[in-house]
Amino acid sequence: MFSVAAQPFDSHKPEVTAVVLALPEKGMAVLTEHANMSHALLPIANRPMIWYTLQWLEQGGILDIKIVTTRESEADIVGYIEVYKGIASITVKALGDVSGTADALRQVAPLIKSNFVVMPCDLVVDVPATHFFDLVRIKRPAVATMFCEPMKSEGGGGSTKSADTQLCVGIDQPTSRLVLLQEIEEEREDLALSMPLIRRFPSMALSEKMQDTHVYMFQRWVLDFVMAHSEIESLQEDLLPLLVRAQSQPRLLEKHEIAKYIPEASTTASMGVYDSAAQLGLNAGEGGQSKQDSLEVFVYVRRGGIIGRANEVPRYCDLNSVVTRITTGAHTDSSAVLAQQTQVGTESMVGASSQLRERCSVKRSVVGAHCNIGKDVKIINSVVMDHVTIGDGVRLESCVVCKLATIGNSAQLKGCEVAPNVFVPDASNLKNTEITDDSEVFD
Amino acid sequence: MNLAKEEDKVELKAIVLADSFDELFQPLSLNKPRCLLPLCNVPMIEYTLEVLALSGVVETIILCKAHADKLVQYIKQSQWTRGHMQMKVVVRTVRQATTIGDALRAADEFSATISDFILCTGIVMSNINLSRLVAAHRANKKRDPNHIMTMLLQEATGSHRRHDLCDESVYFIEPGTSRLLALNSHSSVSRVRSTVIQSTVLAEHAEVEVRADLTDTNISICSPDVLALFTENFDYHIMRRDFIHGILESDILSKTIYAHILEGTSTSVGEAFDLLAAEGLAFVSHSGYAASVTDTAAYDAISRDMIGRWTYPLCPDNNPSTGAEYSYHRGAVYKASSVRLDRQSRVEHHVILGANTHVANFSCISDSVLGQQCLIGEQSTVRGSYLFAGVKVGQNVTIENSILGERVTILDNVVIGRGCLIGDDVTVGPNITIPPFTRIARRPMRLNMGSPESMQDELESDDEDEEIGWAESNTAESNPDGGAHMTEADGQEQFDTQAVGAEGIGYVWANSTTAGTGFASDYEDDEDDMEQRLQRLHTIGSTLADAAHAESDHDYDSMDEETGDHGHEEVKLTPQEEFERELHLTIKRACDEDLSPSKSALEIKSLRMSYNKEQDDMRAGVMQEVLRTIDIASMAESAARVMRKWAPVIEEYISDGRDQLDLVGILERYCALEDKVDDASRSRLFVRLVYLVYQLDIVEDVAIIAWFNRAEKKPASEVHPELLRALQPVVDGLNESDDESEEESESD
Repeated sequence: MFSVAAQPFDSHKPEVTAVVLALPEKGMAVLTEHANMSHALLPIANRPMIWYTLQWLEQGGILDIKIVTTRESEADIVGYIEVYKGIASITVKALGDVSGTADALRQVAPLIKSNFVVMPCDLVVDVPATHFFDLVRIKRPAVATMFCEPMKSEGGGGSTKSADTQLCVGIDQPTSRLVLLQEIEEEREDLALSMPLIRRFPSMALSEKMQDTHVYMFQRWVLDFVMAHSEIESLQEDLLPLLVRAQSQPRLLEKHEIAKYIPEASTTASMGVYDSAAQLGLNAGEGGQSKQDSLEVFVYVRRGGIIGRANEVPRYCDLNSVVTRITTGAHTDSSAVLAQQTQVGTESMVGASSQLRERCSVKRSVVGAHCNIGKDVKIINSVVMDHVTIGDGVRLESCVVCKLATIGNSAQLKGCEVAPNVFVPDASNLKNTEITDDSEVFD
Repeated sequence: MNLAKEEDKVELKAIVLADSFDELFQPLSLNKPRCLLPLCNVPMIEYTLEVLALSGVVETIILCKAHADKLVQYIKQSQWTRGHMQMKVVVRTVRQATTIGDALRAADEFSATISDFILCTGIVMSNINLSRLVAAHRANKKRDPNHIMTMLLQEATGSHRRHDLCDESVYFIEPGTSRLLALNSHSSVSRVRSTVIQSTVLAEHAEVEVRADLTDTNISICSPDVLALFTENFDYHIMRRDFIHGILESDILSKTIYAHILEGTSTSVGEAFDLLAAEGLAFVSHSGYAASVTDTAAYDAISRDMIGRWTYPLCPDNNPSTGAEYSYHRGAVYKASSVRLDRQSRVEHHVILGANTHVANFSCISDSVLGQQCLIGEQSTVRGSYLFAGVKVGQNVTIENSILGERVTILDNVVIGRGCLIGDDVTVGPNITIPPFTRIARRPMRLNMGSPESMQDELESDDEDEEIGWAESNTAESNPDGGAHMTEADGQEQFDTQAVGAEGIGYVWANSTTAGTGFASDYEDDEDDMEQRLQRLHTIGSTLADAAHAESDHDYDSMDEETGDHGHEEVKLTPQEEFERELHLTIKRACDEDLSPSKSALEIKSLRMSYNKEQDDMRAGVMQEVLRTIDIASMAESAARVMRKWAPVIEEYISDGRDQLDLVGILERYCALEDKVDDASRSRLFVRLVYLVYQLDIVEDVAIIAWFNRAEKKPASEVHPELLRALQPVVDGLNESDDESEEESESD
């Protein structure tokens, strides 16, 4: 898959390797698990969501991309990559058994020869990747990550509410280092901040609005560290918090033997002119400082933009609406057939060769390709994927209808997920339900 | 719009609290109010008034208690009372006040402030236009009617000289609006491990800035309500602890306090910060200088800032009020025109030399301020120090990081350690070393007579009162012609010649006596100890290391949250101090309860294990403590009894000839240096002890002879010659009895 002979030539070594995790997400299981659909290929504004990730990486100049996925999805994704028109060299690696993101990383480690970025396949970001990567190139932190202020909900969709674990995030203001990462429990308690942390980072912005986008840019040595510590399961839940804490707790560096993985060269790199004088002064005379300083967790913060992960149904719907709204060009494909008195709102999209009969109304929704939609159908705030057949007089509100599903005449659905290949009988009236092949809602 | 204009027309007032109601400047402030002490050779009050005048203040009220008459007199003859000045300066005496709270309550009674005013709690220095701050304060009040106070805070990170060493405050500030949400003050002596944000704060504010790099400038813009609140809450005494905490934590008052942060020099490159600030309220400029002279450490920092021109345009060569004209030279040296520098003298950098100052040959001045008419003798060094007017320094004197009051005389060959404060008219020397952090005053501290507790109380509450009393009774003797001729009833005055030298005039002031002798304070009550450390941190020349234990546990113990070792917040001694203390207690207990030696030996052994001590440390420590139990009055038999009792224990720590030599050395050092032993019995005790250890077979004769031979060659500073002389007969006797072994030991 990857030629080992390329090793001696540095010119062949990519600057950064991207690892895109196209693994199933629990929050999207309703839509994917019944027909073995790949999470990465679910459409956002009529494009497979992985397209956004790949585009973003290419735009950031990262052309060595490894997609990590499961055996079940491998064929689909390989098939898509063949038709994906990009400039990057993309390799798809299917793993049999994955127990966590760190585990996935360990399995593809032989493919990674340089610094690397790990990101999910379901991220939509409006900041140009160069903003992020250029800052990383300048600062060369051990870990760079991107946090965002979540978007306001566009009304969601599906039968569930998104359940975020709230994070309390502390960012050192002069250096934009991520210095505190703590989950907030349901019952609010007084938060105790450690004074050594405050002494070391005396100007800290504490926020509870931030979300982790799961974009992690690592120095190569972090991979060695992850390889040696099989107890680290998840990058998000184990590795990142550990590294964040190790910045202010030198004892952790020793305990987890992090220090020995940090190459000497990177120590000098991060001690550049970019450290503020005040910080240098503050740290003067502290032992083991250089190692501690080279372990920098940099965070790029995006506020108020269009950014989010489609790893839960409500947010998947939100992203569909937002992306549709900001997409330029024709929202209705030229090959789509719209009958008279059928209205497609400006914030909606209709895919190629779809057919809408008379007096249909599509508002704030996305209709995929090759759909066949009957008369007097109302589609509001919904996502209708490809090859869906909808009977006359149907009303869909805040629904996700997967590909090849069929909805009978006069069905009224609100807040429902319709799995692929499912037939919803005529005149069904359902609310907040997952409609799958084997579901018993019609009995 | 109209309303705004009307408000702008309201005359801007300022209230200056010239008294601090603490004793941090004593004994410098015994004859004068603190605000008249010179900073860079200008009375400090001038800077405050300058800032206020430049900010367009129309009326300034100075509240003063101690030496109020002197302040009144000063203001009367100063430029501020001349006709052309726009600002009116009024001095109000608040005789009854014992705290800042009292003073403000008094201010509420007589002043009819109907609009926002500037409140300076202390002597402040700044180069920013406060009227803009007032305008911003008023603007924000329209948005938030509960806004009653804007605090001016200056950024200064931990290692910055202006950073307050005593106080580790954590400010919780709402980004954007700069509203102060909570303020956790910790004393840096206690080195707390964590600070808590109330869940209510977090629930209401998803984003909070946590700042530990801010220093309070003691300048604030207040609404008239502030004075009223002080009157209503008569238990408010201290600005920060009572008032600010009271407002922030009260659910009933629902008033808000905002912060205005003056940025330091460091610029922020972080994205997070930019974005946080982006939607922020457009407050006025965020750069500038502001600070307040709260203690001598701050006095030092501000003087340096001023010499370094951080306070521009308030600079020594740019002083509006003094007649002395300074010229500015390379290396931040400011010289008055009449300064006389001898050819071989060296004035290095960051120095102010007042009028008629004379620096003699081979002397070196750096980082210091010399007042008018200072004389520096030959081969003296003045570093990081502040010499008020008329100080005379003799030859070969070293002064480091200290403040010397007016007309102080330092005689020849004196070394003054860092952090000393020497009051007016004191004479020190000759040939003496003043330990660091000593305070010396012209008159004794009268309160010494009282019991310790009442002394504390009085110190806290009534001290400034006392000062007034003293100032009055002292007027006779504080004449500039010196205090040589005493007119007091008891005639001849007895000075602390031990402390100030043979020809010295002055007394050691306050509890610094114990602080001066270093480890003697270890056995004191923890709380006293805290107090003392805190005071030391407030003093010029202190570093964080002066919090004693700070270095040792700071990084490694407390940083690791994972050890789960929370809540251990009592004062920690260093392991060495703790060990010494434990050892002392163990041996004392063994004597008191008459435990068997084997039992004590076991206890001491376990101590050694737990503190991981070397055998040598143990030997020295145990011997020291054992010897202390000897009763000097009945020396001969007491020594015999003690040594016999402890012989088995001591033997544990003697394994070879080298150890024996060491033991004799320990005995010698103890006899030579221990304060408990009077000079007469030193040599007697020594001989007795040597004889005892020989008799008890702890030390062999060879070892004693060998030690003696070696000791003879050592200089007198290391071995007490008298003790050696006393040992001579013993050694002679041993020599005679055993000639061969001597050779053996010499070949050793």
